[in-house]
Amino acid sequence: MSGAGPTSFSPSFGGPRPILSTFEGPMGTPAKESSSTTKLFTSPLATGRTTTVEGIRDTSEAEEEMKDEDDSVFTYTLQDAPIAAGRLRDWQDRKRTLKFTLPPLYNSGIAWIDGKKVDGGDQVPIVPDEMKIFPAEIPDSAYSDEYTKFVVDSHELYRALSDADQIGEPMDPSENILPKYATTFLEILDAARRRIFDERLSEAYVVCHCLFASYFADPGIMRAEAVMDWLNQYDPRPTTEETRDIMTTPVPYDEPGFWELVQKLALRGLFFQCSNCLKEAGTPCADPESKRALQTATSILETAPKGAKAFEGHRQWRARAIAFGEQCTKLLDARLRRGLIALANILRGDSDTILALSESWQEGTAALFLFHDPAPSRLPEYYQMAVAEFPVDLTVISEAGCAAIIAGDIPKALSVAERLDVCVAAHIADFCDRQRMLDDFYNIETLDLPPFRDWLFMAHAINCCANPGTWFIGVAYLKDTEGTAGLSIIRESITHVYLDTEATLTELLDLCKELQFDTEARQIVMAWSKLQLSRNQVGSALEWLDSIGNSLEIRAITWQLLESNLLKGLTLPDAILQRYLVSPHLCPAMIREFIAPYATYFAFKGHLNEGDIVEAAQYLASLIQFGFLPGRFFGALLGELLPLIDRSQPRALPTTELIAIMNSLYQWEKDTRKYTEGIQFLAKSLSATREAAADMAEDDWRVEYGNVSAKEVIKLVRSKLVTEVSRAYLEGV
Amino acid sequence: MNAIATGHEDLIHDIAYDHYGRLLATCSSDQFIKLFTRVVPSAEWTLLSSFKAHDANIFSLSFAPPQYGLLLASCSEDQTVRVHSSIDNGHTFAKIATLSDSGGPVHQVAFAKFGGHGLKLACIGADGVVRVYHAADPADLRQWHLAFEKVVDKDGLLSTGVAARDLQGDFAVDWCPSGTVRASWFTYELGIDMDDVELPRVDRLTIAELAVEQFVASSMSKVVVFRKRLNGGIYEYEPTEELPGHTDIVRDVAWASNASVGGRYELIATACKDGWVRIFKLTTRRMGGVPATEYRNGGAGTVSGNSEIGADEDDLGYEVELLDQFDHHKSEVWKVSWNFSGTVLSSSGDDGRVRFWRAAYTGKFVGLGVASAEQGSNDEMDD
Repeated sequence: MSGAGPTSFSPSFGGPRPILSTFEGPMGTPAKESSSTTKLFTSPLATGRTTTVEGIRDTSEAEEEMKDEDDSVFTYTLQDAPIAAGRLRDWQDRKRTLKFTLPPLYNSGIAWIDGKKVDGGDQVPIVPDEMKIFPAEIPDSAYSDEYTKFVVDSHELYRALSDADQIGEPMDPSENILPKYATTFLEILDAARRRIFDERLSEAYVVCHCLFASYFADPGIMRAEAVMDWLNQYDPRPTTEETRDIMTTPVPYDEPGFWELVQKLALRGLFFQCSNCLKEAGTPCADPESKRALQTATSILETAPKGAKAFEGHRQWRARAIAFGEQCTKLLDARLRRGLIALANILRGDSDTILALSESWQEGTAALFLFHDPAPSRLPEYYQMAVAEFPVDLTVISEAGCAAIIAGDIPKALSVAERLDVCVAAHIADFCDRQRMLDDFYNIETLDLPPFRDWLFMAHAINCCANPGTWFIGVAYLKDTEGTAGLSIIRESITHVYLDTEATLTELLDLCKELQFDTEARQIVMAWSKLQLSRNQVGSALEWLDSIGNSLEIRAITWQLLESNLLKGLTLPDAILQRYLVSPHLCPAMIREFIAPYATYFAFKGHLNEGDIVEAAQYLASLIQFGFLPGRFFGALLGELLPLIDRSQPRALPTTELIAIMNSLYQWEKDTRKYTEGIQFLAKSLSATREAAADMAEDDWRVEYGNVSAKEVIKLVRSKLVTEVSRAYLEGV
Repeated sequence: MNAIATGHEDLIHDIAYDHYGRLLATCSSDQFIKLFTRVVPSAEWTLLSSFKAHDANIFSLSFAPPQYGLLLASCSEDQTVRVHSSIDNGHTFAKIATLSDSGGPVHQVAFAKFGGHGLKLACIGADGVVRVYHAADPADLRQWHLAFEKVVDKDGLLSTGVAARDLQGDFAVDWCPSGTVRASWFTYELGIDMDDVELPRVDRLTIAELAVEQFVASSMSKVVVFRKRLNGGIYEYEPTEELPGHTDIVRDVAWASNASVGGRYELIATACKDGWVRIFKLTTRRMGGVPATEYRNGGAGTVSGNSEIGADEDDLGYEVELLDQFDHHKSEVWKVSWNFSGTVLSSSGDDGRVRFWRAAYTGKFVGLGVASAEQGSNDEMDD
């Protein structure tokens, strides 16, 4: 252990301990309370064991214990919360309870107040709040517009990476594309956290940055540098103010905190800033040795190895630092000597000095990594040395995550990241998976569980599916997961996507085709056809039903068309239906077959309107005699016959047709069920006339017979039919 | 979002979403049903329609799947279930069917959430009888026939099947959302391990699906799974498993989607007057005629199919395991609800709080957060 170095720091540095304090009582930063975070687990990190599935299990088990003992989960208050603060007991005394239900797809449900004793009536007077409903979101699941942008950007990067990366093939380190994409992801995340100002997202950024610095550093820089860069962003020291306070004085060297500043800058790898401090401090160099020592110090600082070649040059540079330290022992000025020796001890990677000057396990680890030996394999060792001095504060989730990363326990780090932001956790898991960092995690213990990366992506995808606008992104992720769970989730949610436009419908059906979701495709088409019907787009509805061969539904719709027209009078068909009615050859075969009765009725009405009575009567007669005509329509169609068999008109039907119609009437009356249904429907039709007389077309037969009962209408028809037959006989036709 | 005044003139007893979550129906003791629509993009709810639907308190609502049009079922203290249809996107509703077989107030109604073989509707009332109605012709939803009825359990019921007046009864029913039982059933049916079968992933998913209709019903403290099984050449519903351990009246049951676990098992949550939220895991197994295993001290454990329910040697059934249970409400729990993937469960009750539970990697459930109806709970750690 080096005896050199400062024995105390100025208060402005926030109280790093003197070297001696290394051997004193409890150490480490006090546990911080996080307003929106959760205590995680009793960490095994200090042991440095490589936890795989057990680590994940530990987390949930510890959480279980936590929820039993502590129940410290995030709580928010409903907007316009109906229970006054501290008046829960009063509210309960009113025999009220709270109920809540989630919607089929979205993450925002509805809460409401109900009475507890529904069976026996409720005597407690109702207050206005009890007749309200209260929207409530699943915590951490609803996307703001800004967060949606982050999700979209992340997904685009993921797609680009997937296209560029060949999973499973060994990668030449020099051709490793992951660092480039990792840097981009970090930039996307950084931009998002700056836009969103969310504490958890910021913590997720810290974890992500730590992971990428530790394992996905740009090949152009040394990993130790990357880790130090992470620390300097995460916890910048010394602060600009601390530096300015000293360096703007007339003689900075004379300031009590000068050497602490120099050493902190060196410890943080801020070599040029450190060198500039030394140059501009007004250091009194009474003798040539002192001057030479200062020059050597600045030279060493300014030639610190950086970049791709840094690792190779480190040993040589460290030797210079060691020699420099020995050179400093001969200096006459005691203050200068102590300060420069401490600096030299940092630069040569003296662990005692570094840990003594460090304020946290992160700083100690990063500094040891940078100065002692920047071999990546030694990082966990440095971590162990640092946490022996500065325990990890596990109450800060990001700190727990970073500790797991530095310790090399990636699955645990990912599970911690998942508590912060599942989108971030999924994407960094993807990077780890592509770099084969999770291979050891997949073993006999995980046989019954999905790959952890996939599970994270599923969790993220479920959130995407449950937020408007990101459903297709969720699906894209789910398609990339192993096993059947991802597809099952798509299958579960696909029919819940609202069919706002035909473009959405087409996209969904394309997806169904790709994934062979035949049942769901049918359900979606059925739902779309119902929507089209409600929009009076009957032709479109029929076309879509035809596309799935749903003859049952087509038949039902076409009969409903006839029914509607018999009740409400002729209504104009939509463009598609009109085309099919006018040009039957354009009509698909199945629709043509089932639409025939309605088309016949439509033609009848058309000819009637044009005054072509004979043609109209023939269409109506053929419809009345149609063998599969539902009995309920028979009476109403007979009523339509009344104006056509009036003696005031020329004869419209030949005798054979008249007799055939009479025969059909006889058969209909014999079938009690059909007759009853027909009479009921006719009565309903007549009733509709009376209710909406003003809207009725002038030539509607019911205008004249609106006040006649259904049975009398049939009696009248029979009478007129007989008369028409007699007339035909008399006219000799 | 702010609270929404519904315009009801009495307590609200239930709400239901349509299949897309774009429509919301509420029902009340004022005998009215009100329909709200979600305004895009503000996501706020605005009143669309309101109609008197029953002649007494309305207890429960359910929307049918959209392939049957906009169809809403309601049930009431007037002992009826009514089916209402809208052909103008919810602006008006017309009653198209009244089902009045119940011998008492009808507490809960639920449309089957899957399509195929016509539309089905389950309900349960104070007579303790669960009934399933079937509209065989989707083109004529005015016609329903009673396809099944059975007393869930006589515990707490008079011999007539009506709940004793001194007991505050509760009854609930919920369908298995997928209408299919997946890979595990296939494995048992054919005696093979799916993992040994080399098939494209989509094929594996498709062939692994065997249509099985099943629902869970509760009557007082009994919770029973009913499943359609082949019996004497015809498929019919049978009580198959009991979810044990409830020490008081079960207020609500909710069957989760099994999608997120790839159909490996089913999850059913219950809300109970004894203060516990329970999550049961149902894993497919051969019943093997094993008698019911004693429930272990009310804690997490495994029970096999209830022998009373009559398991045969070769029947497939569920091994029922209490996966998790929570008493954080410290008071009666009244409602449980799953998200679409079965990964988040909500529970609510007398403590004026909605508690959310999420599935962790291991499949166990952990606390996710709390929404409080009591003012002044923002950003606090809930104790």
